[in-house]
Amino acid sequence: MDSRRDRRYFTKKKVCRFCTEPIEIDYKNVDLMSRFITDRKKIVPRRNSGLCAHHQRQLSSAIKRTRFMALLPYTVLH
Amino acid sequence: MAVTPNYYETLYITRPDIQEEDLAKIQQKLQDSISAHQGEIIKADKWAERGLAYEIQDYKRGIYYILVFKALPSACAEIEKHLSFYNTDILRFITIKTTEEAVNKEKAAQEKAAEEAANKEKAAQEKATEKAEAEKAEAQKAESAKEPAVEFAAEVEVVEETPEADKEEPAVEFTAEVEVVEEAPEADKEEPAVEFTAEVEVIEETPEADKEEPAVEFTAEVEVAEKDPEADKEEPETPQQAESAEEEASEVTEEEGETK
Ligand SMILES: [Zn+2]
Repeated sequence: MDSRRDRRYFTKKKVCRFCTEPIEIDYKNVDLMSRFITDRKKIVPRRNSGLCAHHQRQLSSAIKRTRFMALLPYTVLH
Repeated sequence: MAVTPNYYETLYITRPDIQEEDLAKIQQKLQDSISAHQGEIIKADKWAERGLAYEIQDYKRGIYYILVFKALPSACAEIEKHLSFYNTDILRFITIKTTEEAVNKEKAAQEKAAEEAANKEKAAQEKATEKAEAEKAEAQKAESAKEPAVEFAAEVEVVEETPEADKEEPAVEFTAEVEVVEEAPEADKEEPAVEFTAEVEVIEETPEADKEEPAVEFTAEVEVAEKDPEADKEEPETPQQAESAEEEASEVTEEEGETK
């Protein structure tokens, strides 16, 4: 079922990066966090990040910590 | 139920122009409150000095300090109390509960990195000595053998290598080049045999220069990201990785579809 839909719309099924790779989600890892924010500094939604529920939740709270510590901006409208 | 000590990690930002004695006073208070609650400091370091993503109290830069400690939860509260008391010096702070494994893992990673750095230095020194010896040997060779073909190959090497700033035997190549000028000024530069030798030698040497990178690539990425948060050069790698993962995934799904 899924495969048919994938083929029709040329979308590819993503596998959660943090499930497959031994990378820890750490809010101090600014480089890693900045890969999961958009141009407008929003957190990339799960449909685009391809993360599983557990890791998306971990990531989103980590990004919020990163923002709080002024390592990443909340918005582009400063 | 008895309260057991936990592992905590505190990151705090001081203003960039903080007085040393003020910082020392604050850090002393933190240490006191940790030791007063059956705790011990595992790590107390300056993490980074960097520009803030947005201004805090009109400061555009800040100095980040990290404090990893093991103590009772009450120590945590006291630390936060101290940090918020000095709110003119401390711009932000955050305390996060970590685990013993995470702390040990980071410790091990740091030790490993230090060891690797030391090894690299050693290897570089050894290489340098080897090169010096090789240079001597080849200089002697160059003196004894004076075939134009070989010398021309050497000349081509010089041309190809200089942009990459390879350190391999510059002295030898230079002498060889000079000899060519002296002995074979009319040497044809398009002899197939000569070209071939030149190519082979270049091919042999380039992989040596690049050998070390691919193996380390992945770990290097993570390390760099952790230690040097301001370096954004590694980003292009992610889409590639993601793509390859995607491709694999799509292959799998297609196969499944066909079997069904
Ligand atoms: Zn996951």
